[in-house]
Amino acid sequence: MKRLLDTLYVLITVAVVLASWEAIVRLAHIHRQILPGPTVIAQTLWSVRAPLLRHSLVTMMRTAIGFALGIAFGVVLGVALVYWSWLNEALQPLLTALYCLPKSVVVPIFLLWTGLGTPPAVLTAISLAFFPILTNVIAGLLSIHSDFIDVLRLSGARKGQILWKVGIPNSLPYLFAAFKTAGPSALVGVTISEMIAASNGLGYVIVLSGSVFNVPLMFASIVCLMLIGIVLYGLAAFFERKYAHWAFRGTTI
Amino acid sequence: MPSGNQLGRIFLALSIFVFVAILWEIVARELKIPTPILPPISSVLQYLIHFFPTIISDVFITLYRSLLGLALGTVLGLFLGFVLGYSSYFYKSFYPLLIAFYSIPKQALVPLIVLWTTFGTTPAILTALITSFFPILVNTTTGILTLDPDLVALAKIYGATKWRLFVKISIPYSMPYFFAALRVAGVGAIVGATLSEMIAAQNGVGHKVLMASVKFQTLELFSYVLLIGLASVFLYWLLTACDKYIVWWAYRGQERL
Repeated sequence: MKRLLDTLYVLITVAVVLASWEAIVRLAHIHRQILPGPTVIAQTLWSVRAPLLRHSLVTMMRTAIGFALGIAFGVVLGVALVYWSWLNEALQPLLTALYCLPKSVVVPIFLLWTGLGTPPAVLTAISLAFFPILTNVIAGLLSIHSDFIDVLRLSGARKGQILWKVGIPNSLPYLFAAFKTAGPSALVGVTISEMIAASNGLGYVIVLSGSVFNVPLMFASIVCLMLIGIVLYGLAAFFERKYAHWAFRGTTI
Repeated sequence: MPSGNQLGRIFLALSIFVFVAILWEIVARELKIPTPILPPISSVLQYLIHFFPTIISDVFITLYRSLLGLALGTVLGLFLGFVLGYSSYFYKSFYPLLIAFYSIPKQALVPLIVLWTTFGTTPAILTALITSFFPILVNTTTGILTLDPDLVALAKIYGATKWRLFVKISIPYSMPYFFAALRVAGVGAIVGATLSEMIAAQNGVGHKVLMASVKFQTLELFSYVLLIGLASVFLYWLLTACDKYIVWWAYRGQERL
């Protein structure tokens, strides 16, 4: 019942926002080239659905590849840094510097090295999705209850075994939590790269429609991007609840 | 005065950067990689020193735009975060919407902002604003809403009103969350400003970097990337220091990773 009421709140807010947007646009006679109303955007979405879908699929594919590779690199490096702590000490400053480097200025370098389209998009997505995964894997591996480690040591487990039997399962909730940040980050990376260095994908469509003053098309592409973002976040939250639910037992937030 | 352990760390950090630089130099020279692909770092540094005044002026332009956007985004994000944290009505109706906006790439709005405003400084500041606004808003709200229930119960027993509870407990306890978000927002603001410059500006690091890439001027490209990277690291370090010295109590007795 409470959940139903909460959903109702959200729906009412969305409806009010959309209705007042439409009303302002109509009553103030704002030209669709400046700010199209929701109905105009919906019409545009429907009339150019086929090309929009094609560009959306390109963006989704790039995001998926970048996300998957970002997870793979993040997990491997995270485990390595925890296993060999001297490596962690040595690489930490370098990783911080790479984290801080604005990824937008790296896109032109990727563009130069790999050309237009998918390669720079995937590389940018990896460079953004990688860091949340890495930090959370490390945090998960380091937060093992010390009693577990003692018990395993007493039974004669080696460092690698402790990492495999306790460390990895322990870090899973952290990893799933990181997906919620890393997924949307990968999408940001792909969009940035497509805006600068691509001839297809939603980022490209947005910049192109901006340069020809087709604002309804721009809004339609932004809506597509928004839907992809929400689906990504929702999927991550779903998997978190499904595969790491035991970590949240008893918490009430 | 740094202790021996700290000195060792600084030495280790410096040596890893020197190691990477040497590796870069060797790879670029020994594999005979053409300059338009990867110039040796010595040539990049030479170029950087030779054209330092021009490069640094563009870096300053970008930093001005990023920091102004960051400041506005911080003020707005904090204010709205407090409102959402205070009023459960606003929270219930707007928070899911904000999460929806949070997970979309705000960078996609750059062309729209450019259409609505002009070229150059204004869209860059606005893009920096929206990219830094969301993490701060979400974290401030989270910080206010994840209060220790014992603390709230205690304050209520002492007869605290809702407003006093908010000012005396909620706001101070949300500060560690806020400062954690500020670090992320700082880097995000520079990303936003440079991206906007790439799409619609005649100066600034973003514009220069993209032009250099298109013209295969890698010396110029890497010089700009190195300097803006350095500025970004410095900003991150500064915001981390703020975090440590202003909300030091949040880390008491806790080892930081």
